[in-house]
Amino acid sequence: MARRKGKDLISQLPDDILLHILSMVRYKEAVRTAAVSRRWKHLHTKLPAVSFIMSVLGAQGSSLSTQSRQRVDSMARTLRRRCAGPDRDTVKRLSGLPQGRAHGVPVRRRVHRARRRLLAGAVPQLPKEPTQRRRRAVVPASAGCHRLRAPKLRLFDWRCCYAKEVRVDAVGRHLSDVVIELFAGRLPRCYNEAKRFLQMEDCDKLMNHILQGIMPGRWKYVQRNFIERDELRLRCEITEDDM
Amino acid sequence: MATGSGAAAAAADAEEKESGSRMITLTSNEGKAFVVTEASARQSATIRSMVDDGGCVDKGFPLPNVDSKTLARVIQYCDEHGNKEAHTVDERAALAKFDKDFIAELDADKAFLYDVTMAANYLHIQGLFALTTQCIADTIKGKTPEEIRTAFGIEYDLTAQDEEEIKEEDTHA
Repeated sequence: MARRKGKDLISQLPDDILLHILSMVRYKEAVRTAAVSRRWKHLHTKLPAVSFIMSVLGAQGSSLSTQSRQRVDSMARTLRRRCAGPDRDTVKRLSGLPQGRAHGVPVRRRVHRARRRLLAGAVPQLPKEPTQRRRRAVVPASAGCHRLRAPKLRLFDWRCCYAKEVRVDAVGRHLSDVVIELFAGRLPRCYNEAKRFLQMEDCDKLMNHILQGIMPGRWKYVQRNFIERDELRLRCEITEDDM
Repeated sequence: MATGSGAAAAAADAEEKESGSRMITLTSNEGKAFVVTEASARQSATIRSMVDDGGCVDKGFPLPNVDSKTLARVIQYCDEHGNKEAHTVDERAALAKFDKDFIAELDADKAFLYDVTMAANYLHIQGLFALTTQCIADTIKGKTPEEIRTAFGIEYDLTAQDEEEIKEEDTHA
């Protein structure tokens, strides 16, 4: 290995090694490293174990408030930066990551729990704080968790590269508190190329199936539109029946 | 590590007979040859697959990305993990102690630690790679960005706009 010049040697390590290191610290701490330097600013956004949770809270007669809109915009910017940022080669870089702990099981379990509750007809309005704490606890330590509450947020887009699962979780009266998760699992090293991505059809099916399954009749349509030729990016529009 | 001295070679020969394994030559980018047991070399998935493919075992393996100092240290790790059994509690404890001392020594020389990390990555030595990256991760844990910069000697080069974006993202995390 050629002796590298300069004092800041760690930043000269290749991305996949730095990402492996970041995947070993808690996600919050990995995000904090963004403020270290330019080299580190975008690193954490390439971590494969990232989970976005967008929550739609509505049907309480409230309209989009300014504050919510700001948060929606800010969230959208973050999502865009994270998922469709300047680094188009994210996929390639991530393919070098070694396999880590398995993620995703806790999320699936939680969805099932929510579904059970709905089927039982209980549909309780979950207290906010405990819910959040419980979610914190089940989301794997190295997975990011983005949550947004905005009345009647009906349009969002995301990119589902690396995703093993797209999950829609619903709790609350009026089935209005919808949590849409893009859960990206850790990538195995040298894995079958085709398996790495969630197929569009799968994504559609999952989204429709889960939304309709959990909230029958609530959604007029759940539609996916391609907004780029890039097949990794898609957009969903959701309309409620009683809008 | 058996680098040619009589005693070491004899010991390696005995080892070879005992385990029935071959000796393998690894060559650093400076052309220095290191003779190791196959068990030791098999710690590296890269070399393991080449050996299993029946390739150039006799010719040895040139490692153009690894210098002698780094290779010597990497082989030290592989010897410990490849040549020794770790079945009993005592043996496992000894190995754990070796790892602890090994990484403590590396941690004191960060530049060398990165070199070993790169080599472990290049040679696919999973245990060593996990050990060194964990060490670096432990340094990051619980630190503020300033502290991380200090710990690794990273220069601050963020603009005000960068700061703004980071702050915004932080509010979601």
